[in-house]
Amino acid sequence: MRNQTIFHKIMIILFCSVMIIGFVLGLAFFLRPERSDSENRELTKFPSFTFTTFLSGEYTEQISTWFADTFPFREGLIAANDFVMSLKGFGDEQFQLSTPSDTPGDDHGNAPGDDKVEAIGGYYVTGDTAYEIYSRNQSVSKRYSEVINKAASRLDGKAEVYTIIVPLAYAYNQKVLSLTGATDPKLAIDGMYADITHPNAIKVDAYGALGAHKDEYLYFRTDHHWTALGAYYTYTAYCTDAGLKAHPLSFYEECKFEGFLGTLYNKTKAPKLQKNPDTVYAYVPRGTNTLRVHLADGDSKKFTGGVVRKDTDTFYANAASKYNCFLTSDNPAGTDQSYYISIENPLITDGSAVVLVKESFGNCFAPFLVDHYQYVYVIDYRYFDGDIEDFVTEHNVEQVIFLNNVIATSADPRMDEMEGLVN
Amino acid sequence: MVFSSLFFIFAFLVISYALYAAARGIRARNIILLVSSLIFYAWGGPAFVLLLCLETFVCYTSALVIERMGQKTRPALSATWVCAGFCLALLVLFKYTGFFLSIPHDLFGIPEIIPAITLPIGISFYTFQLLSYVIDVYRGEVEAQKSYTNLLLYASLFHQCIAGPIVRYADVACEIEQRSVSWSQAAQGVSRFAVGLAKKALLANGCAMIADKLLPGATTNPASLSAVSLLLGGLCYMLQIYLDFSAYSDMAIGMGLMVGFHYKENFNYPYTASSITDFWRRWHISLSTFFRDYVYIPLGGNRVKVPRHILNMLIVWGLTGFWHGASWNFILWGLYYFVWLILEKYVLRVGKQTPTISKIITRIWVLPAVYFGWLLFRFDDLSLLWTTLKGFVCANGNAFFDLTAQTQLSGNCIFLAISILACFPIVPLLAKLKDCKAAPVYYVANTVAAILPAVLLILSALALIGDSYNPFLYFRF
Repeated sequence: MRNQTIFHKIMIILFCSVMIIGFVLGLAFFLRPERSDSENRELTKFPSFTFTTFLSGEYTEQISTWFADTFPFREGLIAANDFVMSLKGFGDEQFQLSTPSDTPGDDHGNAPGDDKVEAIGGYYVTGDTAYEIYSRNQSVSKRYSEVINKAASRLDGKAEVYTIIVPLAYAYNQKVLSLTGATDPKLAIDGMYADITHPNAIKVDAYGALGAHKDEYLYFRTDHHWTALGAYYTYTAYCTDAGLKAHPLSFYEECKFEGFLGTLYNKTKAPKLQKNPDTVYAYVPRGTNTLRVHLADGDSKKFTGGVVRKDTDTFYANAASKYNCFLTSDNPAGTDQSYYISIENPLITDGSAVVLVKESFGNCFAPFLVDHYQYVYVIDYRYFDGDIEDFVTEHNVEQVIFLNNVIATSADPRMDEMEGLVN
Repeated sequence: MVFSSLFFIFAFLVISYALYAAARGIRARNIILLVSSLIFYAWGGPAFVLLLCLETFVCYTSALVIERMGQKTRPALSATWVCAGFCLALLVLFKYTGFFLSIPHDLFGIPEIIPAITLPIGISFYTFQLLSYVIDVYRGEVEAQKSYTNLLLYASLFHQCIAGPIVRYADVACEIEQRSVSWSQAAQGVSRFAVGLAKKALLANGCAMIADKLLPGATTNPASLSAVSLLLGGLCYMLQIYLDFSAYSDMAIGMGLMVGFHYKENFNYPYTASSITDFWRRWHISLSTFFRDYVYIPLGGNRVKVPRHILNMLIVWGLTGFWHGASWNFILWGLYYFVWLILEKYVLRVGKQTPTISKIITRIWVLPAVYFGWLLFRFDDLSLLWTTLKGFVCANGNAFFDLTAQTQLSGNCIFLAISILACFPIVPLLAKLKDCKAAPVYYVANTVAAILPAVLLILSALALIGDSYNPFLYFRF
């Protein structure tokens, strides 16, 4: 028999080399990233030492987590792993249904268990398109209708209340609807609208407005949001109900940001999505492109060019962040405080004011309101602690728009926050 | 700390083994191994290191006393009982108190509050190791260890302390005090470790992900899981549990070989078993031999009348089940195997000359029986087991086949094929090519074998970055 020692030596040297490279990389703390744009979250921090966490083992465990979570070149290495994992099987279909209790829902990078998590029903990927799907929660969606009735009643005589519930992309795809067995958003929206009975509540038919253009680019294929075009058609429906004259799309300057790989890509890592990223189209309002964030402590921050960020490709360079072009993201000031946004249009001086109460679907809707009102206020109800009636009184608001995607109306934490606004 | 974490691989192991290699002399090397092991153990909470040291100390002094009293003498026996009683009492206190209190709690509401006792990780493994040591000293099979730190090294050695195998003192007694490593052994260790790591990080974690997706949880709507999804979920769990557990043993054996320890095999391709009896000769061998040598044979084994033998089996399998966790389903799981084994022994007469018809029957039922066993093992809420079984025959209002099953099957078919193949002795078969006489085959096979561990290490590390899905199954053991 031949002597195999040489092969053994090669094996050990190769193996040890990889170990040592891993060790050296692990030591290179200055190469460790602090944030993941593709996962849209802050990475695990190196723990601060306390005697209690040390004794419980939490301190050391978090060191292990930190070590793996912030490993140098993590994004590239994870992408390499995604490639390896894509060899697991065939077919570009993926389907995942989740129950309300195990909502991954990192809409904004929040960990499970975080109170800002949204109830997500799951996703379905076929070809180059990912669909976010949902299951209606009857009791929670009843709460949505009650919130709107309550708001309409409290604001009666002060401001009109509009409700816009946005369906999800699969609502217009019979095949996906029947394959996945997910709730038909139309039925859910009709159900909630039927329960909204207060005469001061005006129900905008987003489902119909979008349906009339269902073959256009209304929803992203790699992200759970709708596009600005989808928001535009809904805006025209709102204008009809509110007695405003909608501007044609050509009225706006169009911006285009290519290479968007949104939340659904990052959740599914489907190779076909990666090969066919989305393009974000955004429409810049004429009146102004500046917004101001008002913080609870009385401070305010001005964001010039912040309504539709034309500099998105450099400001939000990461492929996962392009939707942040609208309103400079959900939380432009990156604050922990309660806040709201105001946009003042200098071309209008009639004192007209509207408030848009929304989650992230409202971000690409808000810019269309700018050219109709002197003041557009935007409240992201997930980050706002005030009372809607006080707000309306204080800012002389004439119209209040509640805009939600249909998933939010079945999410307990969302309804808790909405109730906080009107109760 | 767990083996399948980047921190373990790229920080702990590198530092520990680099220091080990740099150190000269067995004493220095043992100290490095011991300190590493204590740090490794303390990583999940330093307090329990004291428990480990205390229990080892009690066994250390007991063994010295027992040896002085003379093997197999009456006072030595009493001392052995006292020491074993102490170790078992600790095990019961930490592992089973909650369970025992829950019985009167559920029946009568007393006590009102069941104290939440944290289970010290690995306690079941190191307690059994120490027990075997003390009993072997009593039996005169090994000499008592004169050095406390050496015994502590045996009990705490990070290779096997938290997830097995249950190493007998006799197997490593000499190597604790004297050991050497050749290139060939080290290479064997490296490739064993890399294979184990890949089995865990690439295959077992992937199987776990599918199993957790497809088997019901507390909040699952039973109608939403189709029969095929459930069957696939059960299969993935069956694969996961073997791949995960044997991966830990592979890594332990591999790390042992790298520094000159030779641990016995703990798994011998159990899913190729020809009967349930055979399955248990191949599954978690160190545990079954422990129960065989320290419970079953002392009770008389099978050299007794049939009713007594059945009783012996009942005790052993009840204990085996209970060892896996303080919950009814584990006891049932043990008793489930008791029934199978009795059936094979007394009805089908599986033994030295198994009748042909029995061979056929046992061969057919072994895997389905094991499959069902794992379902019992998984669900400590037995109603979920019932849900799963009903789901198999579409009695939950669930479909037979659905989109979930379809996408999981198509999206994971290659992965599943590899995972299934990994349960069969393919690698040892291919490894034979390394000794092939034909030169091209010889060189290709040896080159591939030389590169493979590094490749597997890289692939595993990739899978562990970002701290993704990485369950640890043995927190209950």
